Amino acid sequence: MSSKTLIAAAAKPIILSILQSGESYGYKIIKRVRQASGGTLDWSSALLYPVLHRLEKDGLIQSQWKLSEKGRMRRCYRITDSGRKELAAEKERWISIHDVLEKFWATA
Amino acid sequence: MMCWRSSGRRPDSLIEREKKMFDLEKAIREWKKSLFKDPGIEESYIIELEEGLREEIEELCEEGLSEEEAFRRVAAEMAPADVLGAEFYKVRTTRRSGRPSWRAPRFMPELLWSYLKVALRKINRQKSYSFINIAGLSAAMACALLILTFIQFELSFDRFFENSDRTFRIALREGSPEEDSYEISTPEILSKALKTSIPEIEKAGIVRRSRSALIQAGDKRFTEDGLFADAGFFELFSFDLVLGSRAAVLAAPHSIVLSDRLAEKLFGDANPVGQSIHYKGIFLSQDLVVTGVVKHPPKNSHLQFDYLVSTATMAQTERLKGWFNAWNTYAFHTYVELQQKQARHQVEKKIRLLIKEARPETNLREDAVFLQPVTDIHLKSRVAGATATNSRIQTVYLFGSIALIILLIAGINSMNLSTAWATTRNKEVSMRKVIGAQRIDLIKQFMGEAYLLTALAMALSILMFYAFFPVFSGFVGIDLTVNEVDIVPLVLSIGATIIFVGAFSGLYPSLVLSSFQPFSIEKKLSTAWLRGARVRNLLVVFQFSAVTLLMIGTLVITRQLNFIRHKNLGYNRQHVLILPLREEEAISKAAALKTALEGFNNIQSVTISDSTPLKISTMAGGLEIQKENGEATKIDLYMAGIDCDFLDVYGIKLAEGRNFSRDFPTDSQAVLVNQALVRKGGWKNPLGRKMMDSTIIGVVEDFHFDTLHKPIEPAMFVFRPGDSTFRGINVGIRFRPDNPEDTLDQIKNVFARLISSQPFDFYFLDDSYNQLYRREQRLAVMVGYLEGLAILLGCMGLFGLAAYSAQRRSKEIGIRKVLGASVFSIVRIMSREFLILVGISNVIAWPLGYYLLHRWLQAYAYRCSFGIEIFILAGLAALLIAAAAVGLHTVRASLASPVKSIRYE
Repeated sequence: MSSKTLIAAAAKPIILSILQSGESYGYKIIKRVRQASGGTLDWSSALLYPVLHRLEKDGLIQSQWKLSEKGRMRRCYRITDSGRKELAAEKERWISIHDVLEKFWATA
Repeated sequence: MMCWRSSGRRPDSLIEREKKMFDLEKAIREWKKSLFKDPGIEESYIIELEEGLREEIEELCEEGLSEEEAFRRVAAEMAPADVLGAEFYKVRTTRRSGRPSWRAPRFMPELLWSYLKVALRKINRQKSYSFINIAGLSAAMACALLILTFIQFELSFDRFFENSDRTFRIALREGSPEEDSYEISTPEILSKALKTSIPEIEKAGIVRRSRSALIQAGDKRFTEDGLFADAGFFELFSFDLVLGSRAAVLAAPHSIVLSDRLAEKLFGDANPVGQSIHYKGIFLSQDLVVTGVVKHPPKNSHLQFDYLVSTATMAQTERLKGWFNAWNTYAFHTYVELQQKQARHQVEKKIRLLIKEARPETNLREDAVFLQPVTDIHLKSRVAGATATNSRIQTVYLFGSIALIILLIAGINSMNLSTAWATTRNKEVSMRKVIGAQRIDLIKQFMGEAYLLTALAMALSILMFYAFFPVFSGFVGIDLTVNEVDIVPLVLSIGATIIFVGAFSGLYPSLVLSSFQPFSIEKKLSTAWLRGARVRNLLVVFQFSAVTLLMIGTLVITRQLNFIRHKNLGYNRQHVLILPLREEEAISKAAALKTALEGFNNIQSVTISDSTPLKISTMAGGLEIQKENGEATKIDLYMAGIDCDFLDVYGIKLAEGRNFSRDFPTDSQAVLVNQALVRKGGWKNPLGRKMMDSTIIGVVEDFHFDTLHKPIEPAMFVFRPGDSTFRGINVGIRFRPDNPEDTLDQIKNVFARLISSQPFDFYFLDDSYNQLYRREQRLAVMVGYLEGLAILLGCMGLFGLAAYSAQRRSKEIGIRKVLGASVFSIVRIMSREFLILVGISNVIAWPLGYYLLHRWLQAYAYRCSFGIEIFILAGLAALLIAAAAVGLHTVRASLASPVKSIRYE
């Protein structure tokens, strides 16, 4: 669908947005992205997990090991306060870019 | 960050196997195992990933897929372990590149970094070995580079002319068919005839040398060398004419073309064209008009000149008219350009017919005419009176082979030393093999090391090249600056040398080393060493043969040059000063000068002559003389005009008859001849014989009036006491050896008092003689240096090998000592091996040396003799040098306490 760099750049705000509506874990995030994009955005684990780890390292999210319904270990992620702030900033950036693009495309 | 849509890099075989009887748990275990392989993935990540995997599989199963299908699909979507690991590592690391430390940088083959580290460590640890290797190689390569520039320069002569491949100089072979000498003087009319009657010849032109003529413009005057040339000159030779038109500048009489250098000296920045200058040479003395300016000829041209005077000027001069339109005056060199170079032999025949037609009376041999390629003139012509000092192709060969030998010796050193020292690396080799190095990896490693060393050496050698170039170029007489060297072939040869030497020094060791079997290294090592040793011995023999050969060569060359320097030339060249007089006014004062000088106490005698013993100025070709048996024969005869003091000043002895004398008025009709002429004529009693209407009154002993490359030619001396001839004259002064400075001052004062039209120019006869051989002497010294280098390199190699051998046999020596061997016997045992090799080298070098030097000496008409003593001397020297190189280590090894070497046994 779209270029690798764009996907990579979008990963951070998307993950933060998902986590803002509540705790989640790896596979669930992939699934939600897939559903929301109607299947055009299909993340691989090689993309998602390292990004999650990076966000955690940067202090934007927190993880916690929990037991799943099936009794397996599952790593759950939750957004932190600085994560929320970062998301607000990201939102502004994306919206401003979106606005610019829209103006150009409207006249075209 | 990258998004990874996996492209199914998971091993298919794994999935294949799962197909048969699918066990999900087993499949997941296998999958986890494959992830563990990458050091970037931690266990917790795998747990996290596994959870996602399982959940997705469960979902797919609910959708109706079988476990196997679900697993396959999900696993295929997962990125392979190394990609995942790298991504995870990137998150953790603080490295800017994000490259995991266990992974090689993308631009390097996997182990290159480690190889480099090991190689540098090796260099550092085995300092003496590395020094010998690098220093030897770099010195050899620097030498090779220097010699290459020399050869390149020598071979580049006259190749810059357009159509140089089709341009020839006409040479005439004379004498009997066995003789291979030729003359390059030709009649002027020949070039005209060629153009009209031989269609294959496109252009033709004539040239004659003009030596040290006085060129005067206003109050500036210089003595310069130049050429007489006709209008064909600029058609034939693409010299760069700066001012004037190529066709016109030399067409008219009284024209002179100046080199830019001379033009600037005479006129500065002013335009010289149209200016009038006075030319005063041996044959001409008149005003000329500058018609053009030509760039000074490049150093690699056999035609060297500072001015060109049109031959039409000569044709207008009463005295020289006879040189033109006549078939019997051989005064010019003729050059031609053919339409096709293949027509050469055909044209030679046609020219011969042309000459035969014009002069039916001459006796021309079948191959009389010979078109000499202009590009051969510098290196391959053996004629006197050529337009520049020529070199000999033998010199080029000599230097080329020395360069090759030096390079080979250094390469062999490097190869021997690295094989020898490599055997001490068996532990490293076995370690690498056990860990999984393939043979090719080891070959790569050792080749790489060899190339590293070679590249280091090359870098050093380039520095050395630039440092030594000025000295070298002056020394071998090519007078180039570094900037004038054509860099392209040099760069190419540098590249080729690195490849060649690197391969040479790396290939064999790497093959030997990589063939070790890790689990039986101790056993195999001995055979590997032996195998290497045999080749090594062979190479040492080769090296020392080369060294001995060079040594014999240097000895013989030195002896020959000493022979020349000290040869009795038939005249005494010590303590003679010569004043060349060129100006008419000066020449007219010669007699007065002589009288004045004879008055001084410290001047023994003074002579006036047109020639000196070094150079007899006139040569008449094809002169007919009567032999003893009445038969007529043609000879080339040198003629000199001398006075009655000539023999005295130059110390030439009379063999028969008497010298010229003022007491005999009839002596103006008398001549002296040399013994060579008497031999040629076969005269039993030469005195009283008629020679060119004159009577022979005396025979002088032969003396050499040319280089010793040539035999003594017949010569005749006529009596011209104080006569002012139209050619320049020389005043020869024999002075007493004490206080030469005072004498010189006196001569200078007298000269200044009598002669104002010419500056005080003088030279000493012995200097001038040495000049003749200076280039050769210098070449000999150069050969000596190179030979020294070769010997040094050979020794360094032997030294290194001896060190290795001593180290390898330290236990043997220890045991021998414990059992009672003396130091002497141990030294003997250790040295024997090397000395035998040196002995074999001598056996090879002697006959080869004899053969090569015998051929080299053929170039000289007078050669020194050399006997067995030279070979013995060279052999002994080689042996001594080898013994010294080996001795140090063997003595040290045999003096070492056995406790040290065998305490672990």
